Amino acid sequence: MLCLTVMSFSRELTVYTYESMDWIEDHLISQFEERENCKVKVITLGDGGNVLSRLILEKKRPQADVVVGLDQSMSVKAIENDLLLKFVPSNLDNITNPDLIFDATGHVYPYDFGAIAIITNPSEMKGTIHSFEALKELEDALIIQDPRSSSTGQSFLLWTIAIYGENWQQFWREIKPSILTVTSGWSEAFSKFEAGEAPMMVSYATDGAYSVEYYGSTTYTTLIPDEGAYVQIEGAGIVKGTDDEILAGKFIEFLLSDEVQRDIPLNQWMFPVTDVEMPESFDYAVKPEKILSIDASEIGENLEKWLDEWEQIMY
Amino acid sequence: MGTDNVLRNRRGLQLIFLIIALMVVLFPFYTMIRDFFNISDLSTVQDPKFLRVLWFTLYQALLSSVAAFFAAIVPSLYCAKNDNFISKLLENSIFIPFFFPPVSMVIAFSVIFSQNGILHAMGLNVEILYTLKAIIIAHIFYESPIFVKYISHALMSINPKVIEAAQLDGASTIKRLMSIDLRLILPSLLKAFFLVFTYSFMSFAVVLNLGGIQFSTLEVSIANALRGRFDFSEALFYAIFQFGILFILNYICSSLLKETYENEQPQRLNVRTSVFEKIITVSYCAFEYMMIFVGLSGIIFDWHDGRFSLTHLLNLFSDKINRKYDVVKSIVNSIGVAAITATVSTFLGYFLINLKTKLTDYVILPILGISSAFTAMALLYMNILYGVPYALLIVAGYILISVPLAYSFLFQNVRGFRNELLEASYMDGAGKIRAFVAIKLPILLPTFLAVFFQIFAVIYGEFTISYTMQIRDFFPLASVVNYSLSAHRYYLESQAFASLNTIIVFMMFWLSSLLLKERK
Repeated sequence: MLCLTVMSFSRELTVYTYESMDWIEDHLISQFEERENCKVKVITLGDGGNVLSRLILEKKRPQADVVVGLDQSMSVKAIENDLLLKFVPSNLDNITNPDLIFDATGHVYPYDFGAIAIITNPSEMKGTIHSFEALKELEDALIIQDPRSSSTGQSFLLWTIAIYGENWQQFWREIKPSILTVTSGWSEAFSKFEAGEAPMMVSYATDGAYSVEYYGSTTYTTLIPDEGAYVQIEGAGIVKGTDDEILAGKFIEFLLSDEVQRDIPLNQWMFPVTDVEMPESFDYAVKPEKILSIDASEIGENLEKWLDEWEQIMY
Repeated sequence: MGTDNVLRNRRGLQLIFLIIALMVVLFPFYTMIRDFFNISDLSTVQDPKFLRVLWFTLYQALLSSVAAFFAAIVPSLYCAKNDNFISKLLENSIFIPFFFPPVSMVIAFSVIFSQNGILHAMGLNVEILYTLKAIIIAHIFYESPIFVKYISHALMSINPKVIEAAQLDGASTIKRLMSIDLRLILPSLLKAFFLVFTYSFMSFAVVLNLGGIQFSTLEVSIANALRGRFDFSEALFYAIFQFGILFILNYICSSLLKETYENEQPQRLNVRTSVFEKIITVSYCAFEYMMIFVGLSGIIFDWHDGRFSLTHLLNLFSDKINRKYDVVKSIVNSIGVAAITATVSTFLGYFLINLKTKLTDYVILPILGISSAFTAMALLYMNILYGVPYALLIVAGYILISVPLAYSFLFQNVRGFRNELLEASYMDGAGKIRAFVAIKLPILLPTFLAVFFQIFAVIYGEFTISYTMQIRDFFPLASVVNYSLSAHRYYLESQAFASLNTIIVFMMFWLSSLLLKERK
């Protein structure tokens, strides 16, 4: 009997992801284990930066089979470091919008996406703003995240580059007085925002849905300026050096299945990449009308330079 | 001649032990350098960005150390002269630099100084958040208690006969202060300065949360290189440079220090305290303890809504939270790890001081200058390459950072121990172990216990190493679980947990002082 139990879990899969993705352990992982007759170990490692940092450290002796939680720029870094295997999921067609497949090299596949937005506390704001240009008029009003350490912060920087193109540096010089502080991550920014230190912070367009779901009302308003929205896409890939490439591939396909995609909105507070029924609270999530993007290869080639230039301006 | 040989052999063995121990300590760092360091990164030393960060790191550390010193002068004098409630508060403030969690400090600063803060509500428009002023004030709050402890203890250890002799010789107060008092307390002052400068130089949480991007230090740059740019080579360069600077500084401080140990039992100075000293000291205590009060109040008070509530504290022990965040398990783990580390480090600190070689002075204290984030990566790499268990690695890392503290805290009392007492017992026929147990241990026990609890406090609240190693899934520790709660929007639970952790350490201090009182 013991022998049978051991044999029944002879296939093991180690998944690296960031902490706020831990909800997949609640009931989804057991479904996958049952279906594939395997044991899945989910290791949560802080934020996306921690996950990629661990993969680079483990390059000589990889310990993970699948990585979940790489956004556009982190994916470029992971591919550059030769950390991932190429793969084509059999259910790739489930992804409704092919534009979401940001990695043309076939290493990383999207499982969720969401627009970056500026959330505002109406009780602390005088008037409303509709554009990035209007942001410049305010003083010490905005909390942003450091693009060198936060994926949200990096997406915000890319957003401004997508809008202003070569003139993005000028925009940052002008908006600098409007920024109260630059935090290392989203959580630190949100706790300062909640404490009322500033009336605006860079966050996500789905924050309204979160407020409705948990507090029954939208305490904060969400703003996507007239210039257009920048979408952060999160993806998963197979780690180079995996012992079970097939099982790892099945896990990526599992992420694109309805079972997982249905749970994305209310757990991940992002939009699913497949066509599943959306919860009512997502009526309060701002749906971007105009989507801006930067090509992944352009990000790969220029990100280091952009970060250096940004740092130069902000000092 | 025979005794000389035995001593020489023993000294040789001790040195061999020290060298082997150093090699074990250096091995994880060596593997990181071997596998990730790119020699071309040495050219970073000419990079204006690096020079800017280096300049600011040195500037803010020096400014903070000088400011903390000036803030501590009058309270130190008061503490040396008085034995009352205020002096007890001053003595106990030493736990602040080593334990008071940055998360509570950040809450306190936000509650007091932000646009929605207490001072603003009182009509005082003090806008210091995210400026250099905030960094310096936070460093004064954190580090001036180190000066208070070292200076007041040194003043109380001055032999009163020396002072009396100077007065009989007609020395003026100023002359006595400059030529006798200052000279006698200089070793303690230098040690305190080295500790304060090192902590400010390596400041991470304060700079990151109360400063801003324009105030990056080397430690912040190391974290950014590791977690943002994923450039391990650059992080290694910063870490090596940082260690190098602190090594040189310690070398200079150690060279300036003569081998003087305080043999006298510290006693209060018999000098009157002026009204000015009283006012300054009370203001200083109010500043230090107001921060603690505001930080700790988060356990039952929501400053944002202005409401009292026990709900968040109780939530910490609910099934729902513990199923995901292991709050209770993390408290047990942290107590266990802190107790093991404190025991081993106190023992090692005592052993290293007894080696009585200048080499230990040059080698042990600069360990404080090793970047915590870099240490964590090096330890993690040991797990990846050799499968060393996380629990063992984390304890090893904690011992590494706490041995210099144990060494520093124990130094005066252990080196200054009156060996005539032991020699007398040998003459009476007592063996070494018996003499140690019957004479040395009872005398040094209060010191050992104090050092044990101080290290316990430091390790219980340690965050950078445990967070960078990301071992919450394998071995949850209180500080990291607290961060997870905050990251999952359990802000009030996180505040309550931070306060609870501080209270746990307070309880340990209280228990230790009770034990010591009973012994007296």
